[in-house]
Formats: sequence, C-alpha cells, structure tokens
Amino acid sequence: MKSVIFQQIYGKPRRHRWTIFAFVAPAFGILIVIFGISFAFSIWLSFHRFLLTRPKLGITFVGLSNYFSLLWQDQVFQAAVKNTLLFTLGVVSLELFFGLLLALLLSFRTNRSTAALRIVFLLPLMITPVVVGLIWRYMLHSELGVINYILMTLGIVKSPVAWLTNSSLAMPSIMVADAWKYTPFVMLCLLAGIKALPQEIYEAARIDGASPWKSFIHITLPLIQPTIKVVLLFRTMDAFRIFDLVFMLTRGGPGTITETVSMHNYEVLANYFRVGYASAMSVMILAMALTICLTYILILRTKWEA
Amino acid sequence: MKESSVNFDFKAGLVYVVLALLATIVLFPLLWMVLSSFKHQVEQQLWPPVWISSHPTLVNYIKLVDLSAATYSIPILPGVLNTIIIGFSSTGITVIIGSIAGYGFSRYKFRANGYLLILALILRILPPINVVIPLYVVFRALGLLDTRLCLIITYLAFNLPFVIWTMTIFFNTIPKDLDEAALIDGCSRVKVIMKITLPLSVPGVVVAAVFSFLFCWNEFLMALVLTQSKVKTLPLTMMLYRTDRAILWGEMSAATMVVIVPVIIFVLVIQKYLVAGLTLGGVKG
Repeated sequence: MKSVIFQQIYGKPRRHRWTIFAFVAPAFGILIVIFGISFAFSIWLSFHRFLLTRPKLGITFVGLSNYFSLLWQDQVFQAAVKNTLLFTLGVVSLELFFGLLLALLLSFRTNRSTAALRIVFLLPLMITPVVVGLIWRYMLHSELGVINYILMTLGIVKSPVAWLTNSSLAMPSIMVADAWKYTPFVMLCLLAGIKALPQEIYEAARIDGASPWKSFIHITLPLIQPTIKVVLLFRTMDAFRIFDLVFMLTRGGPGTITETVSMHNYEVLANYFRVGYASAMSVMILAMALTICLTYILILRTKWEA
Repeated sequence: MKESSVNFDFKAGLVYVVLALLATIVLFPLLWMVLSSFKHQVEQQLWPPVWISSHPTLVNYIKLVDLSAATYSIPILPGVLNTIIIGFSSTGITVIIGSIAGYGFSRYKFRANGYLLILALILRILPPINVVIPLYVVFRALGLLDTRLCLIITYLAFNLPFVIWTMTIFFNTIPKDLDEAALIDGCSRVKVIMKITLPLSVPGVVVAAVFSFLFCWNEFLMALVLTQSKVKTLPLTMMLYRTDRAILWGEMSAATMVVIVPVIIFVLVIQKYLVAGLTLGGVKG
C-alpha cells in the first residue's frame, strides 16, 4: 500500500533517482570543482619545482624530491609538526577541562542568573580570531601590558615578563589565548548534552546515597561521552590548523618555538614563493589531518548511523 | 534564588562565587578593550596602566572614519564595505544552492546519502591551507588574484558543507506528511516547495545565512593569501593597525569594537540555534 502511494507521489523509481541528482548536483558540483581540483592540483604541483620568483624556469618535474627534503632536511617543518601536535594536545585538554567544569557549574541550577552567565561565558567565542590575537598581544605586551601589571601588583612576579618573546612562555601564552576563545564552544556543546539527560537517574542515585562526585563519574560522564567525542573531533581539527593566533601573536617565534604547520606552510608560499614545495607540505598536512579525522569518524560512526 | 532564601544553601553559594570569579576572568580582556578604546594616545602608553580614562574621548572612533590626511590612521570603511559585499554575495549563493541540496537530502533517500554528507563534513574540517595554495596558483593564472570575485568563490565553497548540513537537519524537522498531503491534493513539487516548505524553513535559512556571513566576516588565512592591496577584508584591515613605527593601540581597540559588536548582536539574536550553528559554522577561524 505504502509503495503505491509512494509511486503516485514521486513517480517511477528511475525518475526518482534523477530528481535527487538534480537537487544535489549544483552543490556537489561546486564542491568537487573547488576542492577536487585543488587537491588534485596540489598533488600534481608537489612533484614539481615551481618558483614564482623565477617564472622563466617554469614548472619542472622533480619526482619525490620535495617530499624527501620535507622529511629529511626541513628542520623547521619537523619542529612545526611537533609544535602543532603539542599545541593541539595542550589546548584540547585545557578546553575540555574548563569547558566541562563550566558546563557542570552552569547546569547546577536553571534560572535567570545562570542563563545570563552562560551568555557572558559565550562572548569570547563570538570574537574574530584576528581580534583575539590583537587583544592578547595588547594585554601580554612586556612593557605596557595589563597582565604584567596585575601579576606584579599581586606580587606573583617581580619584574615584567616577556610573555611572547620568552622561549618557554610563548607557546603557553598562545595556548591560553586559544583556550580563552574556544572553551565556550566546548562548554556550550557539553551543556546541551548535560541538559538533555533525564533528571530521574540523578534522583534515583541520590536516594541510593550516591555523592555528587560519584554520580558525575558514573552517570554524567558515561552518558555525555558521545557529545564529548564529537566536541573532541571538532576541537582537534580546529586546533591542528591553528594559524590566525600564531600569526598575530608570535609569527612562529622566538626561533621556531611556536611555528605550526599552517604557519610554516604559509611562510614557504608567501615569503619564498616555492609553490611546489609548499604544495608538498600541504599534501603532508592534509594526510595528517585526514588520518586524525578518519580515526575519529571511525570511532564515532556507530553513533551517526543510529 | 528561591532555594537559598529559605536557608542559606552553602553549596549553591559556592557555585555562584566560582562562576562569578570565572566570569570576571573571561570578561576582563573584553572590558579592557572597551576601556582602552576611550583613552587618549598618551594614556595608552602609561605605566602603570590607566584603568578608566580621566578624559574619555571618542577620538579613536573618529580617526577610523576620518579620511583627511591630517591624522595618520587607517580607515576602516573600505574593509567593512569589502567584507559586506563579499559576505553578502557568497552567502546569498551558498544559501540558495545549499538549501536545494539540503532539501534533496532530506526528502529523497538514496544509498550515497550518508557518504555525501560525511564527505561534506570532512571537507569542512580540513585545514584550509590545502586548498588555498592551488587556488592561489589558479587565480593567479586567471588574473583573479586581489579581486572580490576570488574570495566570493572561495568562501562559497567553504560555506557550502555547513549550509547543506544545517538545511538537511532543518528540513528533516518539517514533517514529510505536509508535502505528501499537498502532492496528493494535486500540488506540483515546485509549488509545494514555494508554498509550504520555504515559508516553514525561514528560521533555518536565517541561521545558515548568519553563520555563513560570519565566516566571511572572520576569515583570515584565505584573504591573506588571495588578496594583496586592492581588496582588504576586515580582518586584514585589523592587521594594519600594527604598523612599522608603532602599534596604534587606540585605533586598534576602537576597530576591535567595530568588528565584534555586530557579531555579538547577530549571535544573541539567534541564540536558540547556537549549538547547531557553532558546531560547523563560521565563528571559528
């Protein structure tokens, strides 16, 4: 019975298939043209030497040599991979910790004051990344920065600290700025996850004598695990491609302490105009990003299909 | 606070104290920029820093729109204008094409459905540097570098996956029965879309459009690579306040306000849809 109505509405199955095609084709046409051609072209370019500064040399085929120098000669790239992974691990854990803390604190009561506080905590997320960089650069300034002033007034540090030019402080400073901007994202997603949990379980647990800490470990955490996984996917992929903040705060310095893969790749293109080499690097970055992304998606897959 | 008025709830008090403390820390950078934007140049350079200006001034805001050569500054209006033109054109096209695809995904089920959606998701979260290098070469060959068109095309492609996802999810919430009832009554598919689905999907379209526009408003890396001097978007204009001679802190903090206030207003207006929008949307870099 259902299939008869179905055919009346949608016509014959074959026409049905072409209708879908007509709906989806424009969007995926554009995606395939822009992304498909880009990926294919950058793979092709990665096997060539192409210097924009010397156009007369043209594009010459060099085989795998770009990849060889990337893997065995370019120490900046190796440092950048290490820094990026360190940064990703650092900020994702920071943001998960504080995001979860804020979400738990805010889900404690549902009233007007927590709703207002939620908006306050969301504000950093709405600020343009470049502007976040400028704000923190201003506040972390070694001579005029207000952060040094506050820390000195409180007696935490004796003399002004050069946050962004000190080799052991530059990376943590960028991490703090990044955590300031993106913790609200984690908080918001987790808060939505926590709010969706049924209250009866908690009441049952309380009647059975479970402490708040125990009900957090044994009820909240397992139940919001799917949300945590999705949040981790988005934050990991975002942190991995970090560019704006590094560009505004340190430009990869001092030395190569805060150089990230996107930053280094940009420099090779914009400062040295080595298109072939930059493409090889971007292919490597793509491979790393895809590995991380597909690992996550394989873990998450069961949930999405449900 | 009804609970605590009866007998003081120590635990609730503690939670509120911790929340208030954290909120102060989170708000401080923004507050500092607001205060700085009303300070004179001299007060920006003082140590210890001045908290609240003794002579609050609007001079930093005036400098942003002052085109006369008397004051050395960087006008912000060309950046705003470029970003709005690029943002509106690319958002308009993205929302139309993305909604059509979203409708297809939600109303017709076919085998590749899920795979295509996951493909779109993956494209959305990959590092943009992979795409920007080949696009730079292509646009250079076509003579399109440093034009609005190249950014419109690039942003169009980057926003499409998000719009497709948002609209698919949104159309899924509009019952299919409505379509089918109208189709049985003899309405054509096009008429069903125009008369039933489209009016119902206005909130979804608004969310998709706002977040696509915010992506264009915030985007930095692609604008940095694909444009040089003729077309400067807002984030690139912001960078200019750090000149060779000095950082123009006053103008910079005023410009910061210009950049973030519209975003905050936009997002507060569509607060209800924040989770969906922020997961895939444009508020990130």
